[in-house]
Amino acid sequence: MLTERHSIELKVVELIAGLAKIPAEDIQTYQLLNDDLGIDSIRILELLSYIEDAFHFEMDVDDINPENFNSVNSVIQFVEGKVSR
Amino acid sequence: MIRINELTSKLDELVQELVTVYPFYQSLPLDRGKPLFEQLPIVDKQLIGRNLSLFERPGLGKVIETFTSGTTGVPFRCIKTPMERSMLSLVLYKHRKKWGLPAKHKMILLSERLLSDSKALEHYAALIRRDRPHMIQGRASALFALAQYFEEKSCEVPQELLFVQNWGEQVNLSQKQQVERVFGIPFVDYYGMEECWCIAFSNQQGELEVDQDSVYVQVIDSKTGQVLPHGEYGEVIVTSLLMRSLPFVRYRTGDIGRLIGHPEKGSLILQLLPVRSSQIRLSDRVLPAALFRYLDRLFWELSVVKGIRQFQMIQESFYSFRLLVVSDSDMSEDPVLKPKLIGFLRQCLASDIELAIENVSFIAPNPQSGKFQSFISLVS
Repeated sequence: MLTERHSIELKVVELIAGLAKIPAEDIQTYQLLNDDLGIDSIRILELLSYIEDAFHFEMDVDDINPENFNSVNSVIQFVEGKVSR
Repeated sequence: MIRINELTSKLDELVQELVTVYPFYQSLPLDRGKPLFEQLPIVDKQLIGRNLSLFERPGLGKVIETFTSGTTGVPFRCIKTPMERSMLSLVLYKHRKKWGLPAKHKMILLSERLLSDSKALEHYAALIRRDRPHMIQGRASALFALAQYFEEKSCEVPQELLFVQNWGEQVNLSQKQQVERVFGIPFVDYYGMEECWCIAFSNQQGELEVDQDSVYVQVIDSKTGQVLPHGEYGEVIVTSLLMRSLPFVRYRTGDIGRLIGHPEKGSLILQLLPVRSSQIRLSDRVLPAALFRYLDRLFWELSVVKGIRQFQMIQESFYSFRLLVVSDSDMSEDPVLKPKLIGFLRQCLASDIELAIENVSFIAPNPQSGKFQSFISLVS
């Protein structure tokens, strides 16, 4: 059975893989969205929207912090923090 | 909002990185017994432009180039890594979200040529009807013209439209009120620059609130470089807490303003001195001088090849212009510059024009504001 952390990780990686147009299994959690996966400034905004839809919450203004969307891992941690509240 | 100790720590980290990595800052004799940030020199476009290799981060990978002369007439090449662009774009989105913009949104950006093309307003009205955007961004004068067109033609304002956003031009109160009345939505303002994007954005009270997470703003006495207390007018200087490919630290914006702190909210409000916005005045209409932004790349290339350090376009009468140039080469009959400028002005103004180019040793700032200006009109 998947832990919540693992299930969030799988979903986030899947979303990022879709945006980066690469297979999910090729993504490492330490990778940077922009430098390593080529997710540019426009697609970062798409990612926010996908996260809202996938995890059923709306971001607060304070959530829009570049540090939350720096790497795959930072996105996972951000989503974990949001869904556990 | 950012706490003082958090800011101090960010600035300390920034200074350490600067003196470790960047040749310009490595060479500075800093007194370790004093606050280091305050010892850093105030820099401007000309200083950075002349010493680019000392300011750029060594070993930079892929960067995205843009060009600006801003309102000061100093050609400048901006670079950003894709990561920096993403971070800056998130900062901008954060402010737009305060006005309700969803992550999945549609936006229309009004062209800088909107006011010079008679068909443009019709085109944008059709685009807005078709795309039903959540926001429209444009120069204040272009947003105003669009609002007038919507009113004259009784165009329907889409329900999805949440706000319109100004950029790159000072807005006056009557323009703002007119746009808000016609569209029935807020007119929000943005203050920033190509070098580091957002510096301040409208808050719900209609004030320009400094983005303290990504920039540190100070106001100085232009003559002494002394930092002024909140409430006093002076030159706005900015430090980007995000830009590292080319850091902007204690960087002169050339704008005059003052800071008002709201300690209870932790917010910082920037009030810019209302200077007359630059407009090209024609016999039958006015156009924003921001049109000259289309020439930013040309002026940058000329700065590299011909040593242009600064320029100022003066409109002497409705259809005659004089370009003052501070340059290493004689530009008065330059085979590239003159024909390009004449062609550009003819196209934008839809009229024949006269142009003289004059080499000068110095371009004086505005005597009232102290600000260097890339365009002035002598037409009243």
